[in-house]
Parts: sequence; structure tokens; C-alpha cells
Amino acid sequence: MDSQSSHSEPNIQKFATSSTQPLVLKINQLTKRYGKLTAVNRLNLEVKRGSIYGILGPNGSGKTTTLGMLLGVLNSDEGSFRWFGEAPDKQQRKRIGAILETPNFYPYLNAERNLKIIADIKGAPHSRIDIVLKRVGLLERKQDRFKTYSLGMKQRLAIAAALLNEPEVLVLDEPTNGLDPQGIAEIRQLIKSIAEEGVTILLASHLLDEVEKVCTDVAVLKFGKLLFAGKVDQISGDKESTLIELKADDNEALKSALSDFPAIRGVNSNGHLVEIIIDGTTDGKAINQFLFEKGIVLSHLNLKSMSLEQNFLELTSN
Amino acid sequence: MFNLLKIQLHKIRHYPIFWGIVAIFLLTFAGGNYAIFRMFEEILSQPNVKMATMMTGIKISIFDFPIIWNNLAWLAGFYQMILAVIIIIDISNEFSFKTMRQNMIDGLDRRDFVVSKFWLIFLLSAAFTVMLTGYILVMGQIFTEAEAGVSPWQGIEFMLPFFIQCIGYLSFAMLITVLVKKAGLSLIIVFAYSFIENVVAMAYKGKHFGKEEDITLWTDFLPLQLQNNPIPPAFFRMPNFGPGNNKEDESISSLQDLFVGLDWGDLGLSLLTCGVFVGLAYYVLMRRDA
Ligand SMILES: Nc1ncnc2c1ncn2[C@@H]1O[C@H](COP(=O)(O)OP(=O)(O)O)[C@@H](O)[C@H]1O
Ligand SMILES: [Mg+2]
Repeated sequence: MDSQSSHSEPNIQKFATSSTQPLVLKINQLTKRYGKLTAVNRLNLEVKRGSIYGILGPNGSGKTTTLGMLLGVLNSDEGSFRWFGEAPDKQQRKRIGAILETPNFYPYLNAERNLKIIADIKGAPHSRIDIVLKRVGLLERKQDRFKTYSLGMKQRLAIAAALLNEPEVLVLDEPTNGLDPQGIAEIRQLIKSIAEEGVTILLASHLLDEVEKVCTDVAVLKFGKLLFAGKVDQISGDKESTLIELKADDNEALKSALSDFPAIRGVNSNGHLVEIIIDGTTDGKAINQFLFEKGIVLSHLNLKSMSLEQNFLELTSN
Repeated sequence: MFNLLKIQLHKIRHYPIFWGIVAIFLLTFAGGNYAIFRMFEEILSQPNVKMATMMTGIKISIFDFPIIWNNLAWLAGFYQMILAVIIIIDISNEFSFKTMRQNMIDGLDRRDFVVSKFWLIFLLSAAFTVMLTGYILVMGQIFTEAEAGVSPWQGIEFMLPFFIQCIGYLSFAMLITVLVKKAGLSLIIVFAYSFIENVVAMAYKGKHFGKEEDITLWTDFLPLQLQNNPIPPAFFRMPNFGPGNNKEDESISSLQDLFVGLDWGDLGLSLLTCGVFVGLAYYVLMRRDA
């Protein structure tokens, strides 16, 4: 997969100080299990400073679980990650602004008092409170209790809270979920304007459209596995591509053999079938030949030619 | 450290339910004590009342210095249940509002979270202990006859095991809430357990009453009793009081004979129990996803 092959210059980073780190986040083989279910499966990712990084995947693909581990609320079972090149601890989390799933505040407190608590946790001066409330358009409502807010206002307050400590990274989990079209447009605009100030953004979404509109980079997750990582413009547009369904006696061997196949975009298990996406068009003969040479005999092969974007839509729909 | 206190104070200072429970606590404490006060005033106003007179000729009530200190410390233990409601609601809120999770995202760790809750426990316990100390000093003055010649400060050391018991009981409530997460269920478990444990312990004590007073029973090692042990109420030793009817006990002839000093070993065990409750709460949070 692309994310693997792009781990190229790890030695340079050793000498860089944390604030000039080109990599804001590096995830290595991160795994989380819930009983028999593997919610996140050996995930590798790298997020560069200044990017708007989308984590795209259908519901239940492990986006929230991944972010939960990165933010110190979920314990991981295997693997590791580094923020700013450092082993995780609470001090780094103060350099990150993050919202996981829902805006979480004390409903009986007003916006200002809620933000005071967060400012004290993050060590941000209280003078930042009015600044961030103004930024998200809630300054006039700061004396109102959180429980009286609409969903869109709650979401904006959560972004305000995340901005309190002038974070280097903003982590957002489905920030437009449940909002009306106007609320969605407002939040997306806000995210873009924050990114323009140089804040790195990590955005989880199940909407391809949203990732295409907002993000520069994307990682596609399904069943907790990374299918693709790269630039957003590599998956959008009308470029030709092919979705291929395959089946062999040993699908695991099939999948590992496929990782060497040229121009491959993603590998995915779908029930007893293996799905891959290939740049451009191909015919069945080429792939059959390639696999045969690796000692794998296919019992099923089906090609669907369509745009890469359509393929990803298919991949990320439930 | 103090930042965690500040954060915790922000959370409750403008919480109407917190102040509501504080008000209920104060009203119950005042009402309960007034009822006991009136009862004893009534008893003491009668000339030859069984419960309060002694062979020395002076009238003795549970409100006399120095035994008032451990008597009222023992009685006041029951009001700690109301303070436990504050702890249960505050901590279960953090789960149901998902604010503990958000606090951690924002930069607390699990240890900080426990420390901030321990601050609340510490403050409530300190406030209650100070209030009780003042109340005892006033009540002692009213009831102790001047000729008894007892210093009002003798026995004040019993405020220490009371304070530790309060911390321990609220830490117990914290542990249960961290385990159960839900306010209602935590309340039921904490109250039902306290009730059952105390009933069992008192039943066993009652069985051995007046015979072997200093015997150690297995019930003394129950978690809440470990915190009760350093505060044995002196009124169990009073003549004509309790199931044993110690009337014949010639060894008790003055207030001083009723007074038994603080057992520092028991106090140490009580302190240890607090540590176990807090440590377990931290351990549970550590092991679990937030
Ligand atoms: N606390 C949990 N206990 C058991 N399974 C869970 C838990 N949280 C999430 N899961 C499962 O893990 C998978 C990934 O969930 P999640 O990370 O929330 O996905 P996403 O955010 O991409 O929608 C899902 O199958 C979900 O049902
Ligand atoms: Mg999610």
C-alpha cells in the first residue's frame, strides 16, 4: 500500500526539534480489539504538518476508535503512535484541539464557564475565551447554558474549545454529522479558514464528498484496515479505474500476492471476495497471469470499470 | 495540583443540584441534631432518669465533655451519606456527559481526574469536620456542668478519625460510581451496602455487649467498619444505656472513666482503607477506556 512505501526518510526526523517536525503524527501498526472484533487493524499513517488529512470510511470502519487511541481515551492493544515525534502524553494533547464524536460539555454551565474549565485544563489564558467564541460566532450567546444550544451551535462551541490553546493540530470527528446544509457549509468554511492559518487538520468523515471538498490528503479505512493513503486529487475526478472482485482458495495469500501488482490503489475483503482497485483499465488476463505466476489460482474474477471516485464511493458505502 | 482543585470548583460552583444537596445536608444535620437535643433536654430535666444519671450524682448526657467528641463523631457519620450523594452525582455526570473523556482529550490524564475528584472529597470532608467541631464545642458548653471541670478541648482528637472516615466513605462512593458509572445504581449500591454492613456489624457488637468489650470481631474488618473503629461511641459504655445495662459496673464513676483515648492503630487502618478505595478507583479508570 502507498502508506507503507512512503516511509522514506525516518532518519532526518531524529535531528529535527518537535516544532519543526515535518511529521505531526506517525502511526505504527496501531490495533484495537473489542473481543473478537478488530476495530482497528495494524494501521499505519503519517500526517504532515500543514495538511488537511481526511480519514474516510463507512460507519463502523474504525475512524472514531483510531482517533480515540490517538487522543488518549482508548487504550490500544498493539502498535504505537507519536505526536510531534514524541511518545504520547498529556502535554502533547494540550497542543492539540480535538472533538471526538459529539461535543461534550457540562450542560448546566454556560458557554463561557465551560470554556473556563477547558482553558484551565489546557493552560490557556481566559482572555482567549472571548476570542474563540467570536471566531465561531457564539460571543453573544456566551451566557447561555450549553443545554439550550442547537446542534450546530454545540458543534461550533466544540471547535471554539478546541481552538482555546492555539493548537498546532485540530482533530475533528464527523464535524458536520446531523447538521442542516447551512450548518454544514458554515463548519466546512470554518475548518478551511483555520487550516489557512497553518493548523494541521485531521478530519474523520464517512462522506467522500466532504473529504474531497475539504481535505488535501486522505486515508481510506474499511473494517479497521487501511485501504489507501495518498493525495485527495488521486482519488477524485473522472480518472478511469477498475474495481476487480477476486476469489481464491486462500484469500490471505491472494491479498499478499496482490500487494505487488502494479497501479493498485486498494485491497479490501468483502465477505469471501477480495476487492481491489486499479488505476486505468485492465483486462482479466493480465491479473490472472500475474497471480498464476505467484502460484495462485483464481476461482472468481469480475471487473467493473468506472471512475476512481465511483469506486471509492462504492467502497465507502455501507 | 491546585489547578485541578480550581477545575473541580468550576464544575460544581454553578451547579444548582450541588447547592440543593448541600442545603438538604445542612437542613438534615440541623434537624436531626435538634431532635436529639430536645430529646436529651427532656430526659435531663427529669430528676431520676435512667439514661443520664450516675452514681457520682452529676447528670451525664452524651453531650458532656469529653465524651461528646466521640459520641457526636459517631452519630455524625450517618450524615456522610448525604455528602456521598454529591460525589456520586458529580462523578456519574462526568460519565453521562462524556466530560471525563473530553477532559482527557483536552489534556488531563486519569490520575489528574482522580486527584481532582479527591479534592472535592477532601473539601467536603474538611468543611463537615470544621462544622462538626464548632457544633460540638457549643453543645458541650450547654450540657456539661461546670463542676465537672473538664476541658472542652479534651477529646478533640476524635475529629481526626471523623475526618478520615468522611474521606474514606466519600472515596468508597467514588469507587462504586467509577465502577458502575450510573448515578441511580451507584446510589442504591452505596446506601444498601452501608446499611447492611452497619446492621451486621452492630448485631455482632450487640451480641458481645457488656461481656468482652474489647474483643475483636470479624466484622471489625469490613471496609466501612475499619473507618468506624477509631470512633467507638462512649454512650455504649454509659451506665443504664444499651442492651448490656452496665449499671453494676463500679469501675465507671466519673466522666473521665467513660472517656477512652484515640487508638492510633485503628486510625492507621482507617487511613489505609481510604488509600485502598482511592487506589482502586484509579486502577479501574486506568484499565478502562474512557
Ligand atoms: N466500546 C465498544 N465496544 C465494542 N465495540 C465497539 C466499541 N466501540 C466501537 N466498537 C466497534 O468498533 C468498530 C469501529 O467503530 P468506530 O470506530 O466507532 O467506527 P466509525 O467511527 O468509523 O464509525 C465498529 O464495528 C463498532 O461497532
Ligand atoms: Mg465515528
